[in-house]
Amino acid sequence: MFGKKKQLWSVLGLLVIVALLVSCATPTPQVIKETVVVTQPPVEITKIVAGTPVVEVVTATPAPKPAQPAIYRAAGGWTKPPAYHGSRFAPGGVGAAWWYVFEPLFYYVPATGDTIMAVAESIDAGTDTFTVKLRKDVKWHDGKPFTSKDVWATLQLRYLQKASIWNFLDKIETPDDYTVVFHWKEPTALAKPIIAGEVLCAPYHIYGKWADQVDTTVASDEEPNKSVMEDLSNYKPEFPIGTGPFKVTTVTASEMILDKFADHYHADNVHFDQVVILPWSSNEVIWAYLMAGEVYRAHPATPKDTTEAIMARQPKMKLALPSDLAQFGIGFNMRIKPFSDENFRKAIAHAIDRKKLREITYYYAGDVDKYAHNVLTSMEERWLSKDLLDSLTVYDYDPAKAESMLKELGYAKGADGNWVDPDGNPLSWEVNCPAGYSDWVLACDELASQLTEFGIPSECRPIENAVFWPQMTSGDFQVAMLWSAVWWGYAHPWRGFNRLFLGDTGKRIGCPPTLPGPDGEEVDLEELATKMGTTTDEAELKKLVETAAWIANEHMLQLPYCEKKLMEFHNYAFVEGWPDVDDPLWSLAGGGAERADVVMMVQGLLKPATK
Amino acid sequence: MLVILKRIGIALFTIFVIVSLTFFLVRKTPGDVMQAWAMDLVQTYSMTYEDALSMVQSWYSYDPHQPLLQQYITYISGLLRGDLGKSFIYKVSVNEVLVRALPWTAFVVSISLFLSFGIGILLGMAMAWKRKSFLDPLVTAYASFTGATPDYITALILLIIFAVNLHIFPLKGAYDATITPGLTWPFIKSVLMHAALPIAAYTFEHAASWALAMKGSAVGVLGEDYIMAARARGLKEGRIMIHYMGRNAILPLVTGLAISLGGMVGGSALIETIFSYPGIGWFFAEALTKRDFGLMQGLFLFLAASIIFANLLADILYSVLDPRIKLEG
Amino acid sequence: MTATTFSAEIRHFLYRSIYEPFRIVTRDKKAFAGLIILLIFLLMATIGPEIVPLDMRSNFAERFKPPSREHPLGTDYGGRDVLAMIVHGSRDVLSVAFLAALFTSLIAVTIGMIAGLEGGIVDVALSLAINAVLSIPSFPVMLILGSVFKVTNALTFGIVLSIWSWGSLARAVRSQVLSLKEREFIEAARTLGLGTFHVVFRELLPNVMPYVAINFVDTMRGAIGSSVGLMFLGLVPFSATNWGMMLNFAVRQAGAIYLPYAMSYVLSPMIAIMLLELGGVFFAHGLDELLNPRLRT
Repeated sequence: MFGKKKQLWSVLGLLVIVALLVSCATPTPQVIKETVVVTQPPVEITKIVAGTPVVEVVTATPAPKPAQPAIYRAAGGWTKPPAYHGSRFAPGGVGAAWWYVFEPLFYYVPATGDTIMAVAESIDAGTDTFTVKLRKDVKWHDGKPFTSKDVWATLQLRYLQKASIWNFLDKIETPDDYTVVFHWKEPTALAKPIIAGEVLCAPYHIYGKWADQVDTTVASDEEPNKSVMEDLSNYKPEFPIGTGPFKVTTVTASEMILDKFADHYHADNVHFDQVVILPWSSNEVIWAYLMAGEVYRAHPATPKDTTEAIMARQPKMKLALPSDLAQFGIGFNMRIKPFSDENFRKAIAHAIDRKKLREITYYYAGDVDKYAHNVLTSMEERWLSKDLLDSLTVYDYDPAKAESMLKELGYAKGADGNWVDPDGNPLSWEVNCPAGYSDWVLACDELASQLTEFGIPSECRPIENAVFWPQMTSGDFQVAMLWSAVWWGYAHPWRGFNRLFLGDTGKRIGCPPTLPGPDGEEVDLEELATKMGTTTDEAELKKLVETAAWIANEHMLQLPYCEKKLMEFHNYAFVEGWPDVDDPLWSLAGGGAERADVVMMVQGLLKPATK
Repeated sequence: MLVILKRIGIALFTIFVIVSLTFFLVRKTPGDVMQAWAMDLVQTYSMTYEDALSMVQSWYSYDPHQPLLQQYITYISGLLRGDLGKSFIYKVSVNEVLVRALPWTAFVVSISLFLSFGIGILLGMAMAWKRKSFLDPLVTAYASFTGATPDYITALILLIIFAVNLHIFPLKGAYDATITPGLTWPFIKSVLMHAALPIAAYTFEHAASWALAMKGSAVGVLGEDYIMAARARGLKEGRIMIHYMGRNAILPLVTGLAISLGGMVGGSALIETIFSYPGIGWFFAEALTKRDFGLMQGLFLFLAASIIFANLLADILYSVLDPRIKLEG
Repeated sequence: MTATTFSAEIRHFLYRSIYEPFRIVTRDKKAFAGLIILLIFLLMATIGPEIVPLDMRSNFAERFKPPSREHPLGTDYGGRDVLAMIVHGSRDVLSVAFLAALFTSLIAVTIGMIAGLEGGIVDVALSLAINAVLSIPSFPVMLILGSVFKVTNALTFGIVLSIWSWGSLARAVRSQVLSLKEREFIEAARTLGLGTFHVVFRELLPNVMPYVAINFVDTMRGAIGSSVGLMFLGLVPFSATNWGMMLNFAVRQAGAIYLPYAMSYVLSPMIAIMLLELGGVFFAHGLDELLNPRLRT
C-alpha cells in the first residue's frame, strides 16, 4: 500500500509536469520565408547566404486599417439564461436591452414637455382623439415593415396586463397602414405622456394571433382574455424584436451584446456598431467599472467622496444630475396616535434636520428642506405661484420651535430629557425602511438618531423588501422611510397627487378621504385627483394643483427630505457629443436611464471619442 | 457492503424528509414579492406603479388554488422521475438551470477548495511541527485577518487591484464572449484567466482556516505514542512529519473537504456578484428574494442531496482510511 | 473500586478546566498573549463605553478624517469617531457573539456527543436533524422566525443566531466521538467499570474540547457576520456600531474602499474582529498543551 501510494504520486507529478511543458511550449515556426514590407523605395538586398531566411522585398501599399467596431459600453440588469427571453409579456424578458430595442411612438421630455418623434412622423392632439401619423420607413428587427396594425396589436396585449393607458382609452382605430387614432373615454391633458409611455413591442406578424383574441369590452381577468394571457405567457422568443436602433445578438450571464440595426430609419445617425451591457451587480462594482473605463455611462448612487475619486481617476468624466422625478420621504402612520394629530406631525417636522439627512445619505440629491407640498422642488416654479408658496407653512429645522409646539399640545419633557405624551406615556418609536435600499437604511439610522437626540428614543429597523412593502400597506408601522412625491411615468403633478391621495403612498400612511381646503371647505381628495388628470383647462389645472399642494403641506401628510437625482456619469474619454449637463435632454433618463442614451444616439449626438 | 447500502438508504430517507420540510417551509416564508418587484420595475421601465404592479401580477400564475397536499404529491412524483421541478416565475426547469449554471460554480469552487486545502495542510503541518517558530503566529494572524474580512471585501479588493488598476485579469464573466467554446487553447486560457480572480478570492479566504484545522489535528497526533516511537527509532524528521504525523492528522480534514465539496452548490453569491461569474449563486438569490417556490425547492433539494451524499462519502472515506473507525450502520 | 459520583466528576472537571489552565496559560507566552488580548476586549466591553464618550450625531464636514489625536482611528462617513463606535459596539457585539457561540457549542456538543455515543436509531434521528440544519439555507428559516418573534436583547439575539448554525460543529463532535469511542482508553475505562459520566466528562470531553475551544472564537466571528445579515432581514434591531455593520457600510454604502484617506475607517472593524480571533486562537493554543500533557515542553 505504501509503495503503491508513492507510485501514484510520482505518476501524478509527472503528468502535471508534462501538462505544464506542453502548455508552455511555443509552436516551432515552420516558415523560413520572411516578407519584409517597406514603405520607402525598395532597398536591394543582394546577399543571400544559404540557410538564412530568404528576404523578399516588397513595396507597401498602406494596408487598409481593419475597421475597429465602435462599441458603446453601459451597465444594466437582466434575467440570466436559461430564464432569459425576448417577450415583455412573461417574466424574465428583455431586461436592460429594453430602451435600445423598443421605441415608443414618440418621446416625451419631462423637463420641458416637448416631444421628440420616434416611429411617429407627426402627432395631432385633439380633445377626444389623438391622431398619430407613422413613418413609412420603419422596420422591425426581422425585416418586416412597421405598420399601424403593430401599434394596435401592442396595445391590445397591453390590455391583458391592465395597462393604465386603457383607463383613458375607449378604442384604437387604424384607418390606414400609417395612421393610428386614439379615442379617449374623456378628454385628457395627459395624452402625450400617456402615449409616450408605451413602447411598441408586439409586431402583428408575430403576436397577431393573440392580439386578435383580446376582447377589450370584457375585464382582463375574465374569459377569453384570461386564456389568451396564459397562452401568451408561454411564448418565449430567444431575443426581443423591436424597431429600435439596436438588436440583441448575445445574452450570457455576464454580458449582453447588441448589434446596430442597419435598417433603422436613423441608422445613419447612429455612430456605434455595438452596445455591450455589463451586469449591474452592485454599486461598488459599478464604481470599479467606471474607474476602469469599462463602462462609459452609468448612474450608481454615489457618495461625494467616491464621486470625486471616480472623477480623479477618469479626468474626462462628467456628471449630469437630472431629476429622477421622485422624492425620498418620511411617512407617519396617521392611523395611530400621536401621528393622527396633524399638529403633532407639524411639530415633529421642525425637529428633523432634512438637509443633514440628504447630506449623509444621498449627497447629490436636491434639497427639500422647506415645504411638504408633494410637488417636486425642481418643478416648483412651473406649477406653484409665488403667492401660494408664500402662503405655505415652512417646516424648517427648528428644534426650539418643535419643542414649544409640543409643549402647547400637552407634551412634556421628562427628567431624562425624553418626551412624554399628555397621558403620561413616554414616546418611543421604531423607524422602518426596506433593507435592500442601502441609502434609505442610512437615512433611517440618521433619522432615528436625530429623533433620539431630540428626546424621542427611536430605533432603526430595516425590513426585507418583500416583507416591507406589504407591511407598510397594511399599516403596521409607526414611522417609515417611503417614497414621497413620485412623478414617474408622466412628470405631471397628477401622478404624484394620485399616489398620495388615492394610490399606494396614501394607503400606506392612511390618508383620509377628505381634508379641509384653503378656504376651509372639505375637499374630496379623490375628486380632486381625478379632475387633475382629466381637465384640459390650463388655468383650472393650475388651481387644482395649488389646492392639492396647499392641502398636502398644511396638513403635513408626509415629510420629503430630498429629491432624487440620477447621477449620470458619462465619460468623454470614450464617447463624445454628450449634451451639456444642464441640457433638458438628460431628463429623459428619469425612470429609464438608457432612454436618454438612445435618444442622444439616434439624434446623432454621440460618437466614439477621437483619440 | 450491507452497511453501506443501509447508509445509502438512510441518506435517501433524509433527503426525502428534508425535501418535504422544505416544501412546506418555503410556502410559509412571509412577504409579498409583487409589491417589491413592482417598486423595482417602475424605476427601470418608466412605468407607473399601478402599471408595474399589474404587469407583475399578470406574470405570477402560481395556481395557489390547488390544495397543498395535491401540490405536494405532484411534486414528489415528479421528483421520482428525476424532474426537479420548474421555476414558478420563469417557467424554466430547474434541471436546465443547474446544467447551465452549476458547472461554472463547480469549476471555480472545486479548484479553490483543492488549492486552499493543499496550501492549508502543508502550512498546518509545518506549523504543528515547529511549534515555537515564527510561522505559527504569522499564519494565525493571516487566518484571523482573512477570517475577519468578509469574502466580498476580499473579492472587491482583488477586483480593484488586479482588474481595475493593473489590468492583468478580466473584470467579469466566465470567458471571453468573442471566443467560441471548445477544447481549444484560446478558450481554455480565457476560462482560466477569468476564473483566476474568483479562485484567488476563495483561496485567500479559506486557505488559512485549513491550515489552522490541520495544525490542530496534527498537534493532537503529535502526542501519540507512535510519534515518540518513530523518533526513538531514529527516523528522519521530515519523514516523521509527513508520513506519520501528516497522514494521520489529515484524516478528519479529508472528511471536512468532502463536506465542503458537497456544500459548494450553495456557491458564494457574493463573489459571483463581484465578478459577475455565471454560477448558481445568482439563481439561489433570485429564488429567495422573489419567493420562487419551484426554483427554491429544486435548488434546495440539489443542495441537500449534495451535502448529504458528501457526508456519507466522507464517513465511508474516513472508515476506509482509518481502520480503527467502524462504519456505523 | 467505588463508582465516582456526579458531583465529584463536576469538581474534577472544573479543576481541570479552570485552575489548571490558568497555571499553564501564565507560563506559555502565546497563550498568555491571547489571554491579555481577550481581557482587553472584555474591559472594552464592560467599562469601555463608560470611559469613551459616543456622539452619534453626524457631522458631514468631519467625514473620513484620517487618524489624529482627536480621532485616534479617524471618522466614518458621518464624521463620527470610529474608536468610540468600536468601543461602544464591542459591548453588544461581544456579548451577542459570545452567547451565540456558547449556545451553538452547547447544542452541538450535546447533540454530537449523544449521537456518537448512543448510536443506533438515536444516531440516525439526530444525524437527520444535523443534516437538515446543514442543508436547509437559513434565509427562509430566519424570515419565518422573524415573523414569529422579535429579538429585543442579547440573549434572544444569541439564541436566534445559534438556532441554525450548530450543524457543522455537531457533525465534527460526532465524528470525533465516534473515533474516540474505539480508542483504548475508552475501552480501558469501560473494562474498569467506570460509569458513563466518567467516560463523558473525564475521557471524551477533554479530547473534544480543544476542537470546540479553537472553534469557539471562530464561531463568534461567524456570529458577528451573521448578525449583520439578520439586521438586514429586519429580525434584530439595527445597530450602527456593530462592527460587521460598520464594515458593510464602509464598503458598500460609503465606498470607503476607494478612498485612501479613509483606510482607518475600513480597517478598524476588520482589525478589531481579527484581534479577537487572534486572541482566541492563541489562548486556545494554551489549551492544547493543557489537554495534551505530552506537548508541554
